Amino acid sequence: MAEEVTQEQMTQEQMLEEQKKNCIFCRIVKGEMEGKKVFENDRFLAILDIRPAVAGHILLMPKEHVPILPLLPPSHLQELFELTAKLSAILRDVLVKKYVTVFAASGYAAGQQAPHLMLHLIPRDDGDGLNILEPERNKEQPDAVALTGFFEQATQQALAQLGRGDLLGDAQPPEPQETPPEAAPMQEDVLQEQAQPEASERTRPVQQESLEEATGNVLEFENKNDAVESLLADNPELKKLIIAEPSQVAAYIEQSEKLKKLFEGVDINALSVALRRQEERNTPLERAAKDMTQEELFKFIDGNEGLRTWLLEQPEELAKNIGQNPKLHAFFEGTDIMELAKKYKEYKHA
Amino acid sequence: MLETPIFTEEIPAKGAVNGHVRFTMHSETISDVALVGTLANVTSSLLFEKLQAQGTNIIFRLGDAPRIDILARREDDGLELQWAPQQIEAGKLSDIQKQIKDKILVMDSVEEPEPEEVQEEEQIDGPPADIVEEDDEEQEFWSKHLTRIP
Repeated sequence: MAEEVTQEQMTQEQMLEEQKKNCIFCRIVKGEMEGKKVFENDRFLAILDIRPAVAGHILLMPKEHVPILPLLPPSHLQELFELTAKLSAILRDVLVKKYVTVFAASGYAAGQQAPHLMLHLIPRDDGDGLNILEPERNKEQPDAVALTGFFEQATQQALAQLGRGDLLGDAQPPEPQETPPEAAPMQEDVLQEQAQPEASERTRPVQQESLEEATGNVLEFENKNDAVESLLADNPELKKLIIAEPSQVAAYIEQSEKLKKLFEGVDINALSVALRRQEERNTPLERAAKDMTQEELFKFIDGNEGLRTWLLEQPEELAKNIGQNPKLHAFFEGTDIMELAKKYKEYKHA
Repeated sequence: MLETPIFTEEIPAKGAVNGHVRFTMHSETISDVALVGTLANVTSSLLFEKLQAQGTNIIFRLGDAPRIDILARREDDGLELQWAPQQIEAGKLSDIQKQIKDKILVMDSVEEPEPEEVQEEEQIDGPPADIVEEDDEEQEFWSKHLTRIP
């Protein structure tokens, strides 16, 4: 059993290492690839996008390989947004623009094209043809009313945690019609779910007692990350629960000293997002490259910035490293990468 | 739904998607943008959890009518936020790069002046504004220092 856990841990670590090693933006950070740097400090780098939405389009990124915004350490988050504000003001000033759109995507479904967190700072003017960045609000939000109380309380809690509870002194109470009784605040939601034996299937397998029991002797680990990783490797149901119901897990933790000690300093929401992303990375795409027409495949590559850059600039590296990434390996199985790169270059050239 | 001196948070009845939260900002100081950006990040994480979103977008508008929109995304939501990449002349990119770097240099020197006693003894952390304006060699040094050019 212990051996299996070790293997699982190694696989996860290896996957993260591989992602870092193959990350084009990590290579720019390290100076192994060229980038038009406009700002750099110990933690962040800003470069001009070489395929910009408009001239002056900046990519602001952490130097450390962080896949998505929710996984950025809280201590770096404030600095990132301060830099965002500063660079936006500079862009407006230097390029004489009315405003700047800052675009962040977390997840493939949101349009994230590279596995390295970055903010796109795009200088804007009215009528510049980039209204695509300001999507029309024309869809009904059936959950709007139900979510109002939840998000209001979450923001109030976050403000208090950030030491800005003073702002709530002037807060106006929500309009009565916007917060009906059924819009239960977060904590009540969580407690109600715990009290109901007929909780959803996905939350049933792990309950607080079994979670405590499952922790076993993981507290003996010197490194907290090792302890949590070991716990997750041993308890796939717990992993599923953290992905599906992080607030419920957070509530369990709050009620148990043992769990509090184990998860002290661990952001369950961030962990949930990370585990979800990890599962997505491990899930093969629905179709392999060999099953697509050339047009479909090229369109797919066009929409994937990391893959596109890799294929155009370093096809040998891609071919060499493909076996180390299960998702890429499955996707490109049976495809001659060098031949594909050649055809894709011709297509782009044409 | 939540009104503060710095921002108003709302979930509009109609959104770009189901799961659209907006922070309208009443102030755009650097610290206020950082604060509301942090709250937007919290909201983004909660959208993953509460709506089982497959992804999220955080979109700031800074400058005119500042606001932050947070969108819960699904692969089949029909929302297309991808812009068409432009080809920019290498020379123009280099010009913009230089202008931005120069502006950062000046802003840093204005925003973070050295304490007097440090200025007298050693000037390590940044040049005072008057040196940036008057001494080209010093400016070149700090430009290289800030961009880590050996």
